[in-house]
Amino acid sequence: VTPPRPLAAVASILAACALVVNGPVRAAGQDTRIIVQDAWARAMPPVATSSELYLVILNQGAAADRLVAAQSEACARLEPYETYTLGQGMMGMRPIPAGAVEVPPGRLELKPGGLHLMCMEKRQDLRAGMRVPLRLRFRDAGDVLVEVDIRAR
Amino acid sequence: MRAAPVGSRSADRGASHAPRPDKAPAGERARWLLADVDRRFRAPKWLANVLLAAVPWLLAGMVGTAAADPGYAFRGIVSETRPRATDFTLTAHTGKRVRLSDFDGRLRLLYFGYTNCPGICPTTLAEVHQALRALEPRRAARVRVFLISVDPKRDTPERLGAHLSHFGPAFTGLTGKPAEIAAVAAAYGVYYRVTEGPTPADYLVDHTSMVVVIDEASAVRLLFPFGTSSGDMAADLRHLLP
Repeated sequence: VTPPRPLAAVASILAACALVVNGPVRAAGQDTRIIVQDAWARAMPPVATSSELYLVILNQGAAADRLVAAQSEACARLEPYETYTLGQGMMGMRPIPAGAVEVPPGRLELKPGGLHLMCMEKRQDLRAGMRVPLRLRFRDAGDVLVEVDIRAR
Repeated sequence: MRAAPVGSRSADRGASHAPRPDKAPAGERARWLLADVDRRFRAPKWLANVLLAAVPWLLAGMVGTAAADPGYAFRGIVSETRPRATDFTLTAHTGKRVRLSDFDGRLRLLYFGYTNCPGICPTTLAEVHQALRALEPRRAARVRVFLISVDPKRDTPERLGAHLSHFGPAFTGLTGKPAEIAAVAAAYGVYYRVTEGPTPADYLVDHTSMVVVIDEASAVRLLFPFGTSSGDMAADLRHLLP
């Protein structure tokens, strides 16, 4: 019996873990200061041109890091946006300049009504049950790969 | 849940001190809606949270207690004067012209939004949808939800129909001429304005994000500001649908 090639075994274990725990998928040797979890987006009707992505960033390091870029095959452009509230309950949102999202030590939640990632000019419909790969680039910690869970409403 | 103070004025007697809501001009109605919404949004966040937590307690003695359960404190912002909902006519996603009063006898939820709205509107509609699913079927059947477009330029009836197709027959999309939309929004204290988006064609619309709750007797009873959970909505709706 030929033992499975170690790399393939590791890869399949990682893939299985990712499927089971919805956790971050990490390449070997990746920086562990930054953990990204609970990445999700709401399934939207096909007419919607943009979708918001939400996630939690845990910075386990002692120093602040910075989110400098985000990338996904599902979005032609992916940029951080923040929601603002004016008088009369009027709400809107504006882009945050590239690299301006500071990630202080601790927990940073990107959530509805707050800071989030805008997936623009979608290349595919985001349907419930899909898992969309997302790459986040941090100034110090480097790249973190996660899967975005597309939830029904 | 603590009961309302003993000897407090009943909701009906409290309301009788207010000017006859159906006689008040539309602008007047918009003003109290704004006052209610501003109370929630102008104060610092922590203060707003404290006030929001306190509002049901403060109001429990004056207004908003359902007859069936006088101790019930609404989670939404309670309309103190219960004005009669301003009637309007707009174009439904089916292409048919419909009036709000066509749905008299139903509990109606109005939400002003738009189909290209990437986060605030889908979040709110999802909470509303979940709230309806949490209600007993006999109650949910008495509710109609209206998404009134603040982006009539892009939101054709067809587009609204496609957008709402997942939500079921209780949801109706409404659009119209820009002037029609402006009049309805003003009557309900809703502000909106076009702002820059990712591309010129993909512009965004800032807008007042709240759900207006109109009871089966066509009185405006509650506002659900952005962030109201489906559970809180369902609890309040249950008390308006005995």
